Amino acid sequence: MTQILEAPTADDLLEVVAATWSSFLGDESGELLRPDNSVESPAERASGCVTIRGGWNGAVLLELSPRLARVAASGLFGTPEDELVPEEIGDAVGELVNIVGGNVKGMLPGPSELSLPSVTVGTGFSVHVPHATAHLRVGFSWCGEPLVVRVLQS
Amino acid sequence: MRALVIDDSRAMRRILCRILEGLGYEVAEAGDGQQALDHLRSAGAAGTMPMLALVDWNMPVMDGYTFIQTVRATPEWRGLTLMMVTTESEHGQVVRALAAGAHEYVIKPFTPDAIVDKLQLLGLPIEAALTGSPS
Repeated sequence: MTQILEAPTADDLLEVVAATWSSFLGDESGELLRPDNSVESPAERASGCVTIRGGWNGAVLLELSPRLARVAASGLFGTPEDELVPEEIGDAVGELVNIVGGNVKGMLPGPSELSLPSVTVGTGFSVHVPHATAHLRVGFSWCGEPLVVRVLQS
Repeated sequence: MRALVIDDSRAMRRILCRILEGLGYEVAEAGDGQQALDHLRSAGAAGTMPMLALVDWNMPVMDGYTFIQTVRATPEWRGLTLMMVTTESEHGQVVRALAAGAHEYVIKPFTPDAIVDKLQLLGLPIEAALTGSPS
């Protein structure tokens, strides 16, 4: 049975992200997703965001380097990286943050609603969720590329 | 054997299609509940109704829960097996979906074996063994 928490912990995020990666992306590259809190959010990145509203209020953000976003999209779609179109990369990042955010929501007081994901790709931008402040940040590296997961709480 | 995959994520539809095609299914796709209803109406008229639908919950236009309620309220579609495939993991949501008429429930992330296990529990046909990861 899922344990209901007041807010997710770093271990919760590690577990959710690791499960997501191993289920959909784990075997093809042979690379393991490695926790690494020294990684920085890449300046040029794909950023996916879902918000949670209800019994708990906040947001979950997933930030990937462009290279990692392509590798992940290639794995999800089963399409070679050089054949991907931008919409597929955005879709893949959106689905990944949807899965991570949805699982985070499942650990929290409810009932709550999960938003549809939004994805931003570019350089030098920041994502602001009104009335929310940083709660948790966990970094990973995969195939030598950074992945940062952030949880904001309202 | 025909199936319908309903999810607003093309990546997720691709993953589920690969799994079902590997099991011998001919798979159609829909990006939301309304598209799925349109497909069922067309398929019904053409005599190509799917036997199985995998349904995401959170989608634009029409969500999966409303889709399931609509299917269950439509007599000619009551033979359709409905499996929810979603990130909604709270016990209350699972109960809601099953009470609305979903036959089974899979929480993302999942492995291909989880889908196969549910199909077997439902007594649905599986023509080929599934090996490897979904990608």
